[in-house]
Amino acid sequence: MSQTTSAQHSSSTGLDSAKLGMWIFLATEVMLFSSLIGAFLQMKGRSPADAHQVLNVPITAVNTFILIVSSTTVVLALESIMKGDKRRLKLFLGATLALGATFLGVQVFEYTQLILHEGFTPSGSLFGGGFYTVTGFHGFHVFIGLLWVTGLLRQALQEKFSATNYSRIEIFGLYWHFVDVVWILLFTIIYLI
Amino acid sequence: MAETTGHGLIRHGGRKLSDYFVFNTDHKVIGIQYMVMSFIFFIFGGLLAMAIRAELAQPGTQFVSGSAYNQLFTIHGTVMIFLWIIPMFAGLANYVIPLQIGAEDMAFPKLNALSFWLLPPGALLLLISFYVGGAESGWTAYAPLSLQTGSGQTLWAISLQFVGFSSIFSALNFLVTIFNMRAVGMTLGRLPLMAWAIVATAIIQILGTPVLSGALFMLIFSRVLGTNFFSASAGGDPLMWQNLFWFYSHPAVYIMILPGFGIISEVLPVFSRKPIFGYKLIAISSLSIGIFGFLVWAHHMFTSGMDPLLRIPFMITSMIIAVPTGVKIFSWLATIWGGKLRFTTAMMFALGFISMFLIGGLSGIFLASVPIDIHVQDTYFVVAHLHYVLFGGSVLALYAGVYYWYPKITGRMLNEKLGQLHFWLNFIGFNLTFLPQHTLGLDGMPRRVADYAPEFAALNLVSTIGAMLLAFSTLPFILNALLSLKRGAAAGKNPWRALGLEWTLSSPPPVHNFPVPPEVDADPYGYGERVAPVLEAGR
Amino acid sequence: MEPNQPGAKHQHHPNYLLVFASLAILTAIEVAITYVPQIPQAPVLLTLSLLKALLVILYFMHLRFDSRWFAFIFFVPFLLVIPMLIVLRL
Repeated sequence: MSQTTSAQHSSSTGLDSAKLGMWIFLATEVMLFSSLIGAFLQMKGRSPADAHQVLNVPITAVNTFILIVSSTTVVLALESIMKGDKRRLKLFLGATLALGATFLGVQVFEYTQLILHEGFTPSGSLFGGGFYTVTGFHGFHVFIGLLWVTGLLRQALQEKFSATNYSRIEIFGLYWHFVDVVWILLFTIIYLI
Repeated sequence: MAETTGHGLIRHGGRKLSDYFVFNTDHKVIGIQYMVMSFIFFIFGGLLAMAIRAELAQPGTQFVSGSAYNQLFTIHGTVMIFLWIIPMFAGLANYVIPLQIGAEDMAFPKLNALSFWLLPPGALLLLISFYVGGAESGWTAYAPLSLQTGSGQTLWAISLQFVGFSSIFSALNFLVTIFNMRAVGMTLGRLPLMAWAIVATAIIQILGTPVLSGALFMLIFSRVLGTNFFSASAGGDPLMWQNLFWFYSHPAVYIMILPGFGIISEVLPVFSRKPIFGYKLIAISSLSIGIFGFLVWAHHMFTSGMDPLLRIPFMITSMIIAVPTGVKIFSWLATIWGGKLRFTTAMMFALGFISMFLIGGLSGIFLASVPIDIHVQDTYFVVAHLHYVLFGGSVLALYAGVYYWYPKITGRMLNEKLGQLHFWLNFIGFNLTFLPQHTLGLDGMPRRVADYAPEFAALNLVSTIGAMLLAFSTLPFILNALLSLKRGAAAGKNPWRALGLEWTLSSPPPVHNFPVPPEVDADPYGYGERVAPVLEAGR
Repeated sequence: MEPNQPGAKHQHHPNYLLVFASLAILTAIEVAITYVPQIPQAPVLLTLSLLKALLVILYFMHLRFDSRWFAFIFFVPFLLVIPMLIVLRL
């Protein structure tokens, strides 16, 4: 997402342009994930009832918790910079990066376990195809978020943000929370039900 | 904005020729980049169509193998839809919309440039896929056929991903621009109808294109990683491809026609010297097409083996969606009714649009009816219908828009004689090509087959002659557009005596558009007498 | 964008830690439920996860306090998702 808007122009609706753009982008993401989840449900419906027995629920539950914590650190980062606290901003952005990276690391670990030890592959079963497509897409979104937050952390270290200039943190937060929301739903739909 | 200089790889403004070949953040430059590139692809897609028509001139196979023929119509459809009509409208809107609403640029100029630059790699992949061979399953890429074809099909799918993301990002940009960047006094009730049409188009692109992306990812994974989403033999669901594909691709036909509606709504009042009739109804009908367009997709699948319970609901919604379009047709007719018509080339194309699109729309209602659709499914009747909508509709509207805004974009007038020649050759060639195909389809000639039964020979020959004429008719236009760049009469600010904000600027407009931020205090279509609104209210 | 209209509706600061605690507890409850087959799994679990999603959307994404337009933009797609899912399942 480009965060530079055509500057000086005041907004006709009073809504911040970057934020409006981000919400519209999230609407497209809703449609993308809905089509993938719809396909996953279709594949699941055509698979044996115990297809998801291979999945490791306890580890993923911990991973879900990690992602929720990372969402909380983003919102705390935003709150800190809105109050002008640049030290806590850096702290919380750093924490978000670490937590997000952990989430992704656990997911990679999960994939290798499933493929190497369980023989659970994308081509092996309908459920497998749906599983890797949906969780893979989510993981890709986490990856993009990690690149993004790394950039923000760099800017924060260069003291680019202040109590009156935090729009970019807020925009990133919207994205990251959305990725979190998707995972909250995926965890239930894929692992628990 | 830092990058207003003429150096480096990120530039702003079109001062010299090289500015048009780099990552340029000026919406006017991007608009021209879009338009020139997509016109080149229009010619390419047209040449493919000529190859198709040459093969079909007589029964039997003369020039190409069956496999090559499959690729011809696949790439023809894909190029015309994704590399000509959609980006061409995006280009025209890119140039015009910020000028019309009084903005200095789009809301996100860099994202705008990125949207354009996603197209060349996508286009390149498509051309490579043509070279590699294998994209043979039509532009609809129905599974399981699209899972069995050669490796070019994968490249085809990846190329559509690029084009799709370009489309999503440009739509996002248009929405934010139109809602947030309007000049003082440009209320939503004074927004030009072109802008309303782009809003409706953008809504469809925002909500529909991601579903196509999702489906294409599944297709790519199925071909590369061996997932089994669509292969019935492994327990997958081939109908799911059709559902997801048409969930995007039916609304996509509105992506390809709504901006055309916008152009027509701009052109007709100017050359009729009358206010547009039913401004609000036209705006609302665009938006309602944008929403209800999502609830009709399964009418493409009546014969696919889907649940028969769904047929009637989708038949009803498909017929309802004709209503807002009908509202527009009548509003346009009421606009020109009693006007002082000036038959410029732009106006001729606009009038041609109304009549041709009407034929395409009526055959559409025909096809929405389940029993008729089952009878003519996958025959040339469908081919005729879609070309009346997409050529008779979209392309004629595009020509109307190009003839209308060319003076603003270049500062020169197009030659009217060549323009009229272009229109008539085009109009006759088009009807000669596609009118006979209605009959061929009703008689049962199947589409997407290189050969056909001898009794269809006569009408096919007529159609091929018409197609050659249609191709030839593009020459006067190309000649006109190139020659007029240098030799055309100077256009001045407002050659058509039009009222839109874009006509208050010099032609071509300065790099940052409005030297003084404009203020708007009147409706954009107040042509003719000032009492016109009173008359309209009394009706 | 330079200034962010700090005066506007941004000044709501919900208790983020409370939201976080609710999310964590709800997740734990969800996992626990899967060990009790007597409880109808799908409806209960789906309700809980939707509740969690809403907590994040309304508080972390500030949709409760922000412009109604953002909520509109975000929730309209779901109107289209529903018919899509229904037809896919048929």
